[in-house]
Amino acid sequence: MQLGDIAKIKTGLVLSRKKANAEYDAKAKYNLLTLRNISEDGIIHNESFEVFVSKDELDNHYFTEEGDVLMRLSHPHTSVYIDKQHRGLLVPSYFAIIKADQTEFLPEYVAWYLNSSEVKKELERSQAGSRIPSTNKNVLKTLPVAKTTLSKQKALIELLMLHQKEKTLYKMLIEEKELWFKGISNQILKESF
Amino acid sequence: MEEKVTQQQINGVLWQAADTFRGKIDSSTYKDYILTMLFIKYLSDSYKEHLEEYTKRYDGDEQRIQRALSRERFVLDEHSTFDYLYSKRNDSEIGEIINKALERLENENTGKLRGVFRNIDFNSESILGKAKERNAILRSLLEDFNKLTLKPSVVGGEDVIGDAYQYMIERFASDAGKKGGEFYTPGMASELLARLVKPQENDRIYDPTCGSGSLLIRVANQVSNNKVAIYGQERNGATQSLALMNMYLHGIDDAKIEWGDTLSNPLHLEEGKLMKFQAIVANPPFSLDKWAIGFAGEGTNDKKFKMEAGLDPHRRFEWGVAPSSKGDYAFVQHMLYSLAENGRMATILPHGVLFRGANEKKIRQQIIEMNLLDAVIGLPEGLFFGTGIPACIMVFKKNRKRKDVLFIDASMEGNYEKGKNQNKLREQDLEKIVNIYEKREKAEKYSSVATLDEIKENDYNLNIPRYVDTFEEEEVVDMNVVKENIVKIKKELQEVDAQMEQYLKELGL
Repeated sequence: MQLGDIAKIKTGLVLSRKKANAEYDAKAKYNLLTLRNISEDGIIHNESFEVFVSKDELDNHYFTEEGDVLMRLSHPHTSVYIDKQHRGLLVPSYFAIIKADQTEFLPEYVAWYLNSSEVKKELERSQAGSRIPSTNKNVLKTLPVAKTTLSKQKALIELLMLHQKEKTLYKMLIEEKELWFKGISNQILKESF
Repeated sequence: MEEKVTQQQINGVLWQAADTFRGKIDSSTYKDYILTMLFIKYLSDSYKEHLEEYTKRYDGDEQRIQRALSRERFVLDEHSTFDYLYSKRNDSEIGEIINKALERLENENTGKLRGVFRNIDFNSESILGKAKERNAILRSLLEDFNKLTLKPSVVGGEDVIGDAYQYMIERFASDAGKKGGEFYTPGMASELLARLVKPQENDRIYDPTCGSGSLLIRVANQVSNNKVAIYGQERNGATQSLALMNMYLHGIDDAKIEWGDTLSNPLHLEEGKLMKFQAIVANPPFSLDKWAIGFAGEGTNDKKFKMEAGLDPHRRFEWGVAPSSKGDYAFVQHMLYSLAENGRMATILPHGVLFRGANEKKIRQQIIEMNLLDAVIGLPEGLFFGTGIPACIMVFKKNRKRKDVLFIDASMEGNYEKGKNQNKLREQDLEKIVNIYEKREKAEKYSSVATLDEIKENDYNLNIPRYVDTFEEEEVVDMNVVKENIVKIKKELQEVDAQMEQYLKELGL
């Protein structure tokens, strides 16, 4: 089974075609998703989306919807799941928009799968461009997809979210431990004077 | 009625003219050609407008028209106008024609323009290339400038054309990388120096390393109707010419800008002695190497030469001779010896002058004991072209009554605007510095007033952190809260672990 069989794949908007060149040219403004908004571990940063000033009203299919999976087309090809919070963002052409058939595949599962090392290896094998490795829609369509039950997909997704929560908690624990040690150091110094 | 030309339009055409040269010639060289052509165009358009005006007024009476024109700021003949040069743009000897026009301009305006065009050669094969290439470049240059009109009635006065000249100088300084910083001080830093020295009407203003003159113009602009006398000196001949043109384009016709090495050959003299000035500003070359080489006599071996105070006929270096590879204090001493009674002086210097030892420390000590230092202002990094060296401003005054020194640390985040290539001081940043300077206020993490005794205790070290504490206070750790948080996080981690265990079971792992 290939990704093209279970999902519709499109690329984002070529921004230069719609960019307003001068202030009087502007018809609309949209929040733009850029590479800076996506970390390598598949999380979307909310810090200040870039504002794209457009000379036209843009079609809906260039914007993120809940349940989409976005993959960056250049290395490291990170994929992210679009939840309710991140819908309505303009997608530029250096991302692929993947809409999975949700009767068979959960989009979070697809995002997890696309971020796996197996898929990264597959993309590396068929890369276009020598300096900055990149891929395209046609390559994505031919990616093999592992079939599994919906209940297993759900369990995996929960496990992934718990794993991310666990990482966050460990980071917080490290910060608190640093504060704890600093406090102890200060106490010792105070008693020494 | 002709439409007004905007500043942006002029600047755009000028930068487009620069494209003619970019890639072919180093910008530190071609800037002279563009700025000279701008000057010619301006003179020419002014002349043309006055000619039209007098022709109308005197009903075409040639004799009266010529007499009136001869009283204008600048005198041109028909072969010195831009229109004449433009009409010859396809001539195979256009370089020579331009040179001859410049020569005639100089000869007919000797009081103002003698020597101004000495450094520029429009017929130079070594700079502009062989005849065919050179002629193509010059034709393109003339065609670009022909798109401009710089008639006073259209540009609306000297400010616009002067600002265009300034804009080009600034762009070239930026473009030139390391070399650029030598002839131009960024606008806001200049403005700050100008406000600190507070020039008064009828003051004599001096910049011993005036570059293209922008700093002097800023100072003059502090006084209504520019009623000050301007003096400058610049060792680079081409840059000195730019400074003179810059003055004329800002409506300053009587500036005395000399060409020469200020340290070994100061040229502003009265009865053989250094002239005195009420306001002095400068942005000297940072840590100039071999600054004293001009004092070496004929035939002296470079390696063997050692500067001594006695070699200076003006006795400027009695307090100590600056190190041979760092000329900063030589400039400071020159300026202090040029300061009039009650004179004010502000100069940009590298931070190192605040704490470097040996002879520089000796000089610093004398300056402090003579009570000449008024303030030290630390500037943000990356303000200046082509150098990453942190800089400060030192303010000096003659006849100070108070016995303390103000320190301002304006280098911290929030006191400047970060730029892509270069940081910038904003109007509010300037106002804050000047305000604190006037009030001599202590402001948290920003300014402090140190007594002369305090400075002596610090062994005459003026490094700003010794006097202005900008250390960010550490928050006190609430141990109970921290312990609670640790317990809570650990408990949560256990819960997450248990949940993960459950899903792993469900996945059959």
